[in-house]
Amino acid sequence: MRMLKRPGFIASIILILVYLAIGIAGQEGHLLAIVGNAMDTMMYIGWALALAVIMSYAGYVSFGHAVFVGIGAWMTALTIESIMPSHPFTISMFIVALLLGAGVAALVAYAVGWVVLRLRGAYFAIATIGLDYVVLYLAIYMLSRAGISPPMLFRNLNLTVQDFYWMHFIVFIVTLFVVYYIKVSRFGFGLAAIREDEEAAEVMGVDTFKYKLMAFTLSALIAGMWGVPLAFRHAKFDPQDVFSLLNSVIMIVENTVGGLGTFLGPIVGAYIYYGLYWSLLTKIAQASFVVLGPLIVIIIALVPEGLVGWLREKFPRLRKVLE
Amino acid sequence: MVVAASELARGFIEGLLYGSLLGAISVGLTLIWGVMKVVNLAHGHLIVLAAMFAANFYMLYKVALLNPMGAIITMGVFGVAMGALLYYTSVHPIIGHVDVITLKHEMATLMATFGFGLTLFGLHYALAAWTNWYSTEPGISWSFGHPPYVTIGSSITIVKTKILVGVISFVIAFALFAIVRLTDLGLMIQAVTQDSRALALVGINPVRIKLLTTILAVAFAMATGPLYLAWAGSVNPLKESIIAPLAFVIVVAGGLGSIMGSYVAGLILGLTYELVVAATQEVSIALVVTFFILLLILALKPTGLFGYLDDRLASALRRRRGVAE
Repeated sequence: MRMLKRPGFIASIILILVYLAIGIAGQEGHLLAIVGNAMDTMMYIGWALALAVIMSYAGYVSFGHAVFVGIGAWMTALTIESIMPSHPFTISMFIVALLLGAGVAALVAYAVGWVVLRLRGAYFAIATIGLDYVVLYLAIYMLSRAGISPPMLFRNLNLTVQDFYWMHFIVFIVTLFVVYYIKVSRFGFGLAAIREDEEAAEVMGVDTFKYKLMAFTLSALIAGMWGVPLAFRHAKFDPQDVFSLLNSVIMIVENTVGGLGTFLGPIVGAYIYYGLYWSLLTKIAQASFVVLGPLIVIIIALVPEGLVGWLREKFPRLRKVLE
Repeated sequence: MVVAASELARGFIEGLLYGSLLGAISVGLTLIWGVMKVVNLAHGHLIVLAAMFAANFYMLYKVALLNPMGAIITMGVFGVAMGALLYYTSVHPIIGHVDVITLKHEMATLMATFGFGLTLFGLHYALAAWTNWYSTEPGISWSFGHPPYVTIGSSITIVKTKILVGVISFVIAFALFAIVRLTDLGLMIQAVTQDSRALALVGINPVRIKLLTTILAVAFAMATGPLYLAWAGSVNPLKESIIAPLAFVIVVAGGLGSIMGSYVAGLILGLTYELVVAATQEVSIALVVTFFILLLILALKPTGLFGYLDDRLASALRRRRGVAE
């Protein structure tokens, strides 16, 4: 019961209520723009929290985390076109895609993590970049074997914006609670110990390898879930798009800007990123790197603890509120 | 599947030449990573930046000095400035005055160079969006020699430009090896990682050595940009996503900090890539195979394969010059 009074839990409930209100109000029709923005922010928060489990909680930066979002999208494509072909859209199709996307992403993460999590820091980071490209080229190859030149467009499922919104909303609720529970559980404390000092954690009885592997798998599972509403919404599977470096970069930027080791950090980081993205309104998405790149450099060099971490350090009273 | 023997033989020769290029591309990375413990994620972006600048300037102004071979020197000089910029933005604020580099510092510089690389990547698109003279995919029409290819046997033809690229790549890799292992500057570079306080004690400024190492690594990396351009014939910013992971595979496989080890690992990966392409005619499969080798090496031998190669070669060369060990 004590958990229900914690600031992170209350913040999650407030977020969920706000997005629920937007979803209900969005039925009106003239609020479609707001619904679109709300969907985007939910997705960016979800991505940030997915990476946070391994990057922010355990201190292992996965540079190719978009690979799991991509796997989720790929499995959605499989569900719609191969597993349930010529079915009209039902909630079970969404659930099958969700289970498959999250499951396959988690399996891949478990298998790859079993090898690369024995490595520290940079080796792990590079192996994850390599993984992203391996799966990208594999997806392109598989599509070309099936006689499809990417992007692979889905058949028309007659879905409305509201349908997409509730898909995002379901995954959003699951993400918030799973990631928050990881943070405050015994498991989360073990991960924090690994982040601060892996040798010391090992000495104190934390099974570091098992914990890291669990964290990487869970993190991939959540990222895989986020690939599903994304694929439904765009009604296509475009490997170059979903496995793009940009998606991994967005996740890393959100976590870095918001603050490592906190639950609210990635959420704040997601809003900051989204605000920047809208205020820049660059002609080409890639040109926004000219702003994101220096932002990372500045944050790392000047405020390595991120915005929330900085606030916690500067105003100790806020520590009760900012978790 | 039947593959012609001549096709495989051509794959073998081109694999060696391509491997030589890959080796040269990686030596700058092994210097900054292995020696300074800075995982330079901007490495690929710097190489592509050099190739893009070379291609644009050559195609726009047709200056003979800026043909891909001349641009090796121009871009190497440009690399000195970029190296200083990289050092003062992404490396100095984090490890400039740090004596012992821990994992936390390593991750911080990794993130910072990642941000630096992204900036360079975005720069291409920003230039393309806001100016009209800069195209994002310049191809070049430049070839070496008349006729531009040599024929071996009856059916194997190799483009002369590729041979030139392979040879110059070897020269570049060897030059960096000689600087690091056979000069006083090289000794200081090796000393700064072993004990930067002791280095300060004998009157050498460790910060200056760190700066020089970064400059050396970036200048040699950027010098290989035009070589890549000459090999591929065209370049676009997305090529980073092929160059950088390959360079990281090679550096890890070759043993961190081992320059000749990187070069040999480059040869091996170049051979693998070209032979798989020759056998299957499938570029995406060749890339998957190559990255799979990385995972395999990481799993089996994280310390790399050729860590000792540099020491053997350096002591052999010193003996020949009559310098005492």
